[in-house]
Amino acid sequence: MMRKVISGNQAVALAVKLANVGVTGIYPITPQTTIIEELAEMRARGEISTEIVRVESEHSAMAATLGAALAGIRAFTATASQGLLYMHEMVWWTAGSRTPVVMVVGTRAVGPPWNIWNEHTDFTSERDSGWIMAFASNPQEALDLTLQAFRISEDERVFLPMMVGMDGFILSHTKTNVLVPGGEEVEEFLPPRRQPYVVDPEEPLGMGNLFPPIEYMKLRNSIDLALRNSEDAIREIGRDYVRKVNPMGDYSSLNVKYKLDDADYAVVLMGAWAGDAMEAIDKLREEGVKIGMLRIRYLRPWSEREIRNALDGKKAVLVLDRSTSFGRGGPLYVEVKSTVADVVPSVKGVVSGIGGVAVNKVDLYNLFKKFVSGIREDVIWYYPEGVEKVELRTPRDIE
Amino acid sequence: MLEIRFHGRGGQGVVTASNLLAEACGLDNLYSSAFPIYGAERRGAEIEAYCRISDSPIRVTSPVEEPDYVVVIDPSLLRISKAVFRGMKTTSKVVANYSGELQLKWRTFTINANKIATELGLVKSGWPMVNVVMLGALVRVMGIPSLEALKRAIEEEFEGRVAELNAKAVEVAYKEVKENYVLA
Repeated sequence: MMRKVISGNQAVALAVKLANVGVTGIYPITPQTTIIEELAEMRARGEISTEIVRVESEHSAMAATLGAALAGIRAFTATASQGLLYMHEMVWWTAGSRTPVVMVVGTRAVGPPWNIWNEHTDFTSERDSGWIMAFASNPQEALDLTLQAFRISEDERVFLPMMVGMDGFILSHTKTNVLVPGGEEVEEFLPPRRQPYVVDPEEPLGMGNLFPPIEYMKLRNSIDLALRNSEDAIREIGRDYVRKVNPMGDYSSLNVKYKLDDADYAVVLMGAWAGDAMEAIDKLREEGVKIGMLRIRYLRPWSEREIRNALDGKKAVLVLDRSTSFGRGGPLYVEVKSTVADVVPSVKGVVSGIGGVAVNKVDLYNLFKKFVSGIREDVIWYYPEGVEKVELRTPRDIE
Repeated sequence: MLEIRFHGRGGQGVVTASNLLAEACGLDNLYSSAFPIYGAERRGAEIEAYCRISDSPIRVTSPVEEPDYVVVIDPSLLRISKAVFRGMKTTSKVVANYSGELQLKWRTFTINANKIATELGLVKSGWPMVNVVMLGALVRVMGIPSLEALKRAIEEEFEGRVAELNAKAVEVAYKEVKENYVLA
């Protein structure tokens, strides 16, 4: 292992290199673009032999990546925001075809109005597509999860594509200390590619034709089962990763607890702001407030067992969403509430950090304090201190 | 943990400065993180970037609001920017690219980085490139990372003559930075 100071996007590019990816079909979009720039530079220096297929849109990026994967090649792509939305049809096609593929999403708000900054709505919008979905909280985890994603996706118990989210700019462009594994360690961890079937031009077959309803329903049923059953495979692969690649990591569970076991109050969130949340929790703990955190690392599979066990018996749970499910607060809130409503008396939701609004440890401390003393509404939109709360308007009014 | 905030303008290498500092700290086996606030940046627009340095892993990912050090890369910001001194603590220090003496509320260190860059020929598109020069001054004031680590990070980031000139520039700034004493 080598310790380097690199960005989240550089960490992902190194994972792609270490995984010996054969093909990447890709189209640039901020804040993901430096992944592909990094890969192109590696290719120019002769460090990788990955075929970089430049296409005219994200829809084609996934189509090209899926095409290579169907032919038996380890394939990768990355996107964000409008790019992921434009790719949506092929995202579903990839899961439906049960083809192992890995994609990284450098999360970013969705327009209009135009916004390049971080939130998770692009990522969470794909939660029903049948992909395995993990989310990193620092560049190290982005590297680790990307490497694990190839093995999880190619595991015969899973055989589903996997996407890894990371906060746009906040992780994709932050340079920090990352332990970069060596090729030998990864080789021991990552076996040669497996997939349910390979499309071979020498042996033509008919696929994707009109399918009888009952057979279609059985295929959908099998995706649901594969996603539910992937939990065990993910834990096993996570433990093997720690053993063979990064002994400093903890991947024995899907989700991550922080000072939670003895806590009366729990906050649930996903992504980079877990760092500031831990600082806020430490401060409240010093003041005698028994509060802890559950960080969702896997949105899919949604580990009901882990999440119920973690939150059972808490006085109240606060779910922070950096994404929106309009009219329902945020998607994490809806998921957590449906999972623990019968074992936790109070589950509240907070939508914040939308469109790149910075939420730091002081803001989170204030929010958590408010939560512990009791929030009346089911869902609130939380604006950090110093933001002048103006009358809400439509874009047209503002113009 | 030390928290540093860089203030400059688009095109002055503000982001590169914070990245280089983080990389140099990594070479000295310290933990560090560096990032800017991205926007639709244009040459000349006000830019800020952040760096954190610690002897344990850094968890915080939000912008630096209470800096221990503020580095002013563009002197004109001292006059016109409202952002430069926000969140300063009584113990915070200022390291500024400035040709004269500054009288501020905080311990203040100045270095004429424009002059150093111009004399060495570190000029790009008509602007003296002072970003790396300022790091020489900052490293002297903070005491970490080592000047050697900074020079190694420069060699990894730049090539050929630019690397050579920048390495020379940080040495000069390291020697010449001076504290401005407030007259009682």
